[in-house]
Amino acid sequence: MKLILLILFFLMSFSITSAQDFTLEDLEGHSIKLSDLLKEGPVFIQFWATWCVPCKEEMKVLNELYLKYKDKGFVYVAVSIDDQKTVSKVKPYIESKGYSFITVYDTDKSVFSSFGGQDPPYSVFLDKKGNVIKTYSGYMQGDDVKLENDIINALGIK
Amino acid sequence: MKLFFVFLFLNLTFNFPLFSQINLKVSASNQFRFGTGKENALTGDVTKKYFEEIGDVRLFISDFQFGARFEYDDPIEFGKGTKGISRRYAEYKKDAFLTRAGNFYEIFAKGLALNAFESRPIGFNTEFDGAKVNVKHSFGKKTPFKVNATILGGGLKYTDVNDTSRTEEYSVRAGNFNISPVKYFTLGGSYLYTNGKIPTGNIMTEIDAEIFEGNLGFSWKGIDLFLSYANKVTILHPNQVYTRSQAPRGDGAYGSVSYTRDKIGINIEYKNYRFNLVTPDQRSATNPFKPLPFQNAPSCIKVYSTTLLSRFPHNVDFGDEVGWQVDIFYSPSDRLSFNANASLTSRHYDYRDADTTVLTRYERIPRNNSFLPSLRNEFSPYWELFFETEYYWNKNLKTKIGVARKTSVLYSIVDPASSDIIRSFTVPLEFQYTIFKIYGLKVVAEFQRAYNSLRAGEKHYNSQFTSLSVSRSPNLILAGNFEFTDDEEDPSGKKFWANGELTYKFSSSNIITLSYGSERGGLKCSSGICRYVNPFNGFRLTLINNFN
Repeated sequence: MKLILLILFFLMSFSITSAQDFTLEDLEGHSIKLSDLLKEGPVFIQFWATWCVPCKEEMKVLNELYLKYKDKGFVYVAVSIDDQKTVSKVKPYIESKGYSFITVYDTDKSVFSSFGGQDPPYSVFLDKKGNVIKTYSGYMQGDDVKLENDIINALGIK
Repeated sequence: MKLFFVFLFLNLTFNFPLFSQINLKVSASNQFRFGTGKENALTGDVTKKYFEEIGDVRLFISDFQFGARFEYDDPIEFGKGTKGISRRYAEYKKDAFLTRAGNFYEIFAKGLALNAFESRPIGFNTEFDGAKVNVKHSFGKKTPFKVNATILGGGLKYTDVNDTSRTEEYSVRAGNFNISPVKYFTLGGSYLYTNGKIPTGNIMTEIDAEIFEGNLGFSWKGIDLFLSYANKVTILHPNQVYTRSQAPRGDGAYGSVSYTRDKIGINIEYKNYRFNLVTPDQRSATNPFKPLPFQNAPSCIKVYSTTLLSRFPHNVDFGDEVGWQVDIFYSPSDRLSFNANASLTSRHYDYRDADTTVLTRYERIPRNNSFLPSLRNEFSPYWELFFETEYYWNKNLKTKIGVARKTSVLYSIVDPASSDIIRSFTVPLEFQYTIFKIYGLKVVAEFQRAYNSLRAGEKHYNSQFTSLSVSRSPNLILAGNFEFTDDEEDPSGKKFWANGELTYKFSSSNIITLSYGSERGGLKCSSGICRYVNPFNGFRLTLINNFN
């Protein structure tokens, strides 16, 4: 028990810095590199799956926010963690909804786990320098207010 | 005390200004689970307690990543518990080159040859301990020739999800490549060799297996096609259980085609897994010719997220199964969307007893169209139809209604009259309303009419599930879940289950969930692998932390 508490103490006392870079393929097979996206503005990375209901609710909200703030530099990347069982449904789902944000595949969940993801929906918001502004576990009704405030703050809109 | 100073030293070291010059990053996550109560097992109520602590730390130093998992199970809820460091690795990643030593998971193509993963809710884990190297490269810019190759080697210990006293050990060497020689096509291939030790009681059976896999992808103007074929040979080392040398072959094929255009997306999948076509008496978790635990191909079965629809899942037999699935998404407007799904799965063949004496010798009945699933009970079919529509009346009000029909047959060749046949008709409803922007109300109601052939008395019964939750964004959810059945022969001996749940977010990524009450239990599946979870009555606590 002492050991657990010590480890928790050790972990919690870190102040966190920037995120690690990654390259994943989008729905058309093009390579998408995080560091390239950061050149455009703050990046919101949402880890989701086709079988995750709250992920899709959050995605609908994030799409609206993306359309509202993309011209101001807001970047939204949906990282699908669908495995081989459901990955073939990702593109039909995204395109049937008419979503235009970037969607990439992380089939083996390597990027998801390197960002500390445990269960979706899990999101990481990065500023232009790649520093982690905030991480989000889960999604509940009304979270759109908080998400919009975070985006406004990240974009520096007054 | 010594430990305290070690941690203090590490802590001060990493936060010391000198080290802030180096590109150093740390991220960590922690999950703590505790539960106490009674489990309604077949033999009666038994006390159940679990205590699980999992801490993951990742340290990034420039292009290097070091990670470790500390796990303390006393005991674990499902699977085999650990006390100590259960995962550690070092990784170097620079541009398109990656190498990793230590623990890792990997998937080749769609998993016909290799798909190692962890599903903690069912206690499944096929984690490797070894090394892997991955290289990606593009030649040319206008029409790039893309190459992606991986080689790996290592060992793994797989604990049977349904019998934790059984642990299989494998040593694996494998490679995979994928090229995109011209614009719309991809070609890939995998090779895997393994030496395995599979326990049967106290006797260990040794095997060598080789798997060759090839795949083809095509993507053009909204059409995406993927085909994969794998062939496996297993060479047995004779022992007391298997006295003669054998080297049977098995194979598997998977295909998917999807078509997308504005507002509509269609996906069709086909599977034909014949990795271990054996007579009914030879089907066993200890059969050395079975698909390997790290072979996990697509299940082609819909994954449900509602309670009653998840109640009768299909346990996929990757050794002998053929089937298809069609999934359609249609969103005529931003507010309205439809999802329709149909699937059918069965075994390839029917068998008969060819022995004319009192002994039994099963023989396969030839069938020309074994590449198609059958609806006949002798083939243990599973089929389902699902339709769901979702409508946003406005930004604050959402409704969802669905309808599902499922039939599952587990055929008994010994006594066909005692085959396990389950039919269900389910209607799930959902209502979601947001008040004053941050307060949420959610009601989920499911109604199910089911038929179970193994019930001695009334075979038809009804079940009803209701969940009511209120939330206050961004940090509080209160939920109550109630389930009722008029099934006189439910394995738990109960007809009503109720539990309350409180979720509180200390911050956006630090969550505590407390629940108390009774849960019905049932079959839980992940990627086609299932285990039975007993009904539970008691208290649960889950604490999730992320430090990024």
